[in-house]
Amino acid sequence: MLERILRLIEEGKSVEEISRELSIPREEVEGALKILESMGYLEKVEAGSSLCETCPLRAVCPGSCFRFKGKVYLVLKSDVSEQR
Amino acid sequence: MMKVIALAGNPNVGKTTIFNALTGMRQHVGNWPGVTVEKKEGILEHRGERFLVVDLPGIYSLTAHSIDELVARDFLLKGSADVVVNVIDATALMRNLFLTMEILEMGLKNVIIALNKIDLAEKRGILINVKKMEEIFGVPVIPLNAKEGIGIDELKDKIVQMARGEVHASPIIPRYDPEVEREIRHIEEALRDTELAQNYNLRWLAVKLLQRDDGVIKLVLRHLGKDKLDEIMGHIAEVEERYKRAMDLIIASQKYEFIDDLMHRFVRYTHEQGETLSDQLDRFLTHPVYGILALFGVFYLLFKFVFAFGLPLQEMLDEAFSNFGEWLAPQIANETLRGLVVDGIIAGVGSVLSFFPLVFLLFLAMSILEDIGYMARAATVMERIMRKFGLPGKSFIPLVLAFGCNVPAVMATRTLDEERDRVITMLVNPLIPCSARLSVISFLAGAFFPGNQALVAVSIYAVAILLALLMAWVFSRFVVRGEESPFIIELPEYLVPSWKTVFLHSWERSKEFIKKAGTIILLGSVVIWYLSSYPVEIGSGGSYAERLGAFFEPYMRLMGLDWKAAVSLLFGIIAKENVISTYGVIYGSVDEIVNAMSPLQAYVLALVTTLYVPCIATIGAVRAESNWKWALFTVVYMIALASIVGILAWNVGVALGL
Repeated sequence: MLERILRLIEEGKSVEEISRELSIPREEVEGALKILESMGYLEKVEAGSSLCETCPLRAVCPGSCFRFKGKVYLVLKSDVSEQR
Repeated sequence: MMKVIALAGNPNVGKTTIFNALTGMRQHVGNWPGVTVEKKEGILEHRGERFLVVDLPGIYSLTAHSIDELVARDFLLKGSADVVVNVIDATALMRNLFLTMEILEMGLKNVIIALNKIDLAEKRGILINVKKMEEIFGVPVIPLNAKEGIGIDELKDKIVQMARGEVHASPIIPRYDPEVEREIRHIEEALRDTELAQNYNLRWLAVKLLQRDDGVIKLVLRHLGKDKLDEIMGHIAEVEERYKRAMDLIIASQKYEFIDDLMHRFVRYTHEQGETLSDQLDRFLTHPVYGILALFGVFYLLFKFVFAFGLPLQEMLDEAFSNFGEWLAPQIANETLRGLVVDGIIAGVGSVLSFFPLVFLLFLAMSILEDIGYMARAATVMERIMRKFGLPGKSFIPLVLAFGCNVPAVMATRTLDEERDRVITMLVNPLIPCSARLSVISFLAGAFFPGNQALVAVSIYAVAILLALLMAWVFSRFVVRGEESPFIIELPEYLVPSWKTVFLHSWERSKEFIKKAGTIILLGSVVIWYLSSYPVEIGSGGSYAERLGAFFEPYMRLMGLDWKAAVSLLFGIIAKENVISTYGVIYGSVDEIVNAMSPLQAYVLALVTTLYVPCIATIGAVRAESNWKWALFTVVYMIALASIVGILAWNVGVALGL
């Protein structure tokens, strides 16, 4: 199941599409993302607060950055050679 | 000595709520030895017995990739707990049971499953047969609604019984396909005669070795020697070659399938409740076609709202600044000072400040959309398009940030590992209209297109985004090539916005606009006033501003624009809002600007302002994140792009008789 989910992510499928294709609730697909992240197959991409701390416009900007509330996971490794 | 109860589970499953319910105020917070991971301990008193409750870090698996996982794993592995309470979220069973299986695979028999959020699961149509689940897992399962305190007493009773040895448990162990099982047996055999057999569960060690767990490899190396370990690792490599996947993924995947099979025996989903309103909304809002239509529709309504409520206020403010200037002029005797204050500062800064209502309303509308959760959906629709144009996965966040400000957005590209990804994202980033350019778009759309302001603003955003995608495609094909990295987005839940947060956030963002008006724009207005007043008054053709503009005018004529646009755009490089203030200083009022330009010229100016050279802070950020070469390239290609689009738009508009 995790392998299939990883493969579907590589194919560019969304959480909803994976949920439909595997007939499992969206929450379970999101859960699988967290497992794959904990195993080092996915990486959560974050803007992070450090970005604001080092921004040269910090003095005049109390925070005009767009607030993206979702989570973005990037595929880090997928095959045997990469894993080793 | 007090018996120890360990609480283990995924993050956000209600572990802390259960910990608090078990221990009350008898808590102590410290750190795990040698690491900066928080360790929470408390005392549970029940049925005349006292227990030390240890809250383990929230984890998803026991793979030991993170310090949290390592801390939790070591604690469980050393047998430090007399009872392990595995807290699981009933609304996301599969991922929670993955950790349960990892715990049971260690060979622990003192496990209690605390099935939390059972009420929420039922509401979502997830019906769990707890008795059946208990039979299948071979350990006690206590359904809970920890928030309401339901099931806590039953859990306490079961903990006491388990600690006293009154509960007979025969935990289920995950099974894998024959080839993996054969390897597990092979490794178990190899380890059987070592000391490890006395201290560890051999099956667990074998599974972890198959998963190439660093800690277990080192442990086995010490007891088995290098030759024997190499032989085992050789076997593992052969199996991986056959599967064409790494062993840890094979095992995790088969564990997931094992859990899925088990769940069919004790979980039932009621179809009607399975698909929530949120799912139905997502299906529409993130649809490849309807999603784009919805995106344009939402942004059209957003601008409609901003202009409908903001323009009357803007006109009032503009009038107020104009009246203030007229009132102040006779009070200042010194002609130079009068010119500086009235024609320079009030006309320049005032013309920018009069847009404050529009800026505030726009940030308010954006904050509401962010809080509701729509912006993440909009970003998902955009991401799907971005992917088709060769933009790397990680560039998604930097590009989304650019709608606020391009500077942090360019800085955010440092999260991209590949140089190719970093450069492409940095190059197209300034094409995304930031909030400063929004003021210029709002100014021109509001002044020249009464009734159609929203449509004009949306069309300029659409052109800019389309060009950003097109340029990304060009750069990824011809300038910087490399591999693309796949990714996936997890959407947040739809929420009713918190008005306090929304207003606070809108005000925080709008404050920047006022600060900028009082600093960069003020300075810019003074310089523009000087250039347009010396050595002779503007209008004679001899002022510095006219001479400077005249140099670029032949080029600007190709786009239907004049020297005033050239000077405005030049000052816009310092800060985009200077485009408005320059027009304010040169013309004095919005009415005169409207009389001097046609709507087509205003549209071309809005397009060119959006696309030409990024502001000086963004250029600096590109240089800091890459080098002068790419900073210069960004400036040159954006001037070229803005010129092509400007000339095209002007000539097409003229040909159409606009």
